[in-house]
Amino acid sequence: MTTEDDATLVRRSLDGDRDAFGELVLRYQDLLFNVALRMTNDREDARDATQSAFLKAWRKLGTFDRRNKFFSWLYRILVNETLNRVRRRRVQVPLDENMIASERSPDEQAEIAETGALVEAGLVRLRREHREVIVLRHFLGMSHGEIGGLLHLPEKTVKSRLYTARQALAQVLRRRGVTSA
Amino acid sequence: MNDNELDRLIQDELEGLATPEAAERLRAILARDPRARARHGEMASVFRALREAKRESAPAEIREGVLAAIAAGHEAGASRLGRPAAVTSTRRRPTGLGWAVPFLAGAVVGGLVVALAYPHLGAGPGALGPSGRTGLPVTGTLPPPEAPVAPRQIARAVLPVEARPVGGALQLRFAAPPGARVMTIEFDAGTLAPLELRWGRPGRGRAAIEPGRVRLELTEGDLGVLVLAPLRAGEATIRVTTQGDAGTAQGTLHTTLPPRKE
Repeated sequence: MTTEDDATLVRRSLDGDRDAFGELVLRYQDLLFNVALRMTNDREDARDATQSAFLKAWRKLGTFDRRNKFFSWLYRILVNETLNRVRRRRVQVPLDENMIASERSPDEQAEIAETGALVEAGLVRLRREHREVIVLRHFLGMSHGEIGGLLHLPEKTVKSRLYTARQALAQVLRRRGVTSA
Repeated sequence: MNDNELDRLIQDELEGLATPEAAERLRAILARDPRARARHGEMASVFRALREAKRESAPAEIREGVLAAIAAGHEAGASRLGRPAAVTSTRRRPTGLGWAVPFLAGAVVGGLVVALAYPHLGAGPGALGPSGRTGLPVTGTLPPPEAPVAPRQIARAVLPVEARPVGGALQLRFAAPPGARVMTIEFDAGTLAPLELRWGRPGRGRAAIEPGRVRLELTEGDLGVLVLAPLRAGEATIRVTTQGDAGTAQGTLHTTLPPRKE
């Protein structure tokens, strides 16, 4: 993430340069989409949330404090968008019980686990703050320090949250027979 | 060592953060404690599964949709209305109907981007601006004179026009404004024919397509492209009606279609 470049692109965007904003979209769409996808477990919602987040960012660009990191600001917009969509949906995305039905052999279960499908479904069972750190650490590959910067949390808290999040995820997977303690 | 301490040690080791001393300590615990081995195995499978749930690429239409909506009038840093681009509304009718402002503002912002394109040029997107250097003249008003809307909004009402050498058809890009429920696009069936409809979110919106008329059921935030193929050269008029929570807004586009190039 090149903050200086972001700052330049933001400035150009504020001057009405759509290409500059398009560059910012290109730069961050994968990151945002992956966050939204893991938060919603729904590709359409993830795509819509990502798109809306960028549009809101464009409209509110004038309020962005350029002393801060653009991605951090954008990320908060995305999280709000994602949460709004999840709330609107009003139902928790259930784990696909059929996918983990007991008649599957251990080999089949292992195969499913390998694809990560259950992990993705399991993520939506976690508390939002736990899901968030898992996504940032494991899907976006951010360091504890980067996550702390993004979420305005001390690194120690990030680490502690990650421990708890992984324990919770392990518990979900254990209940589904993917792992056993 | 309690379970939490053990879990932390295990996770540190799996994450590659354990000090050599801590790793050695864990190895010793695992060697003598089957329960610790089970916990380690479980957590290792969580880490493995997380690695295998790969990061995905964002769908290409995200950027396209964002830029289309921006081109349709969103202004950087503006919370509501975009700046005038190509076709400006010329009529105004001040009224006290404040309720209509958000809807119509949205209709304007959400509006349409009209692209006139030529496939043989094969270039990518690139707005050519109001003069339409390679495009055809497109004029129109949105909203119409009858629309109940405050003067300020009318003055800024725009219908951005982009000429893009990317296809042999007339493209209407739509972005559902807040509160919009239905958008109807009407045209002369002898002049234009619906060729393609692409939704920003496939399968969500419903569309009824018939000769001379396309009716789209929208949800706020929907983005899409309707492609109309010219059937003959000459004048073409397209009427766009948006119905929503706060009422109805209408607009009309006029253009001259060239003879088709083979």
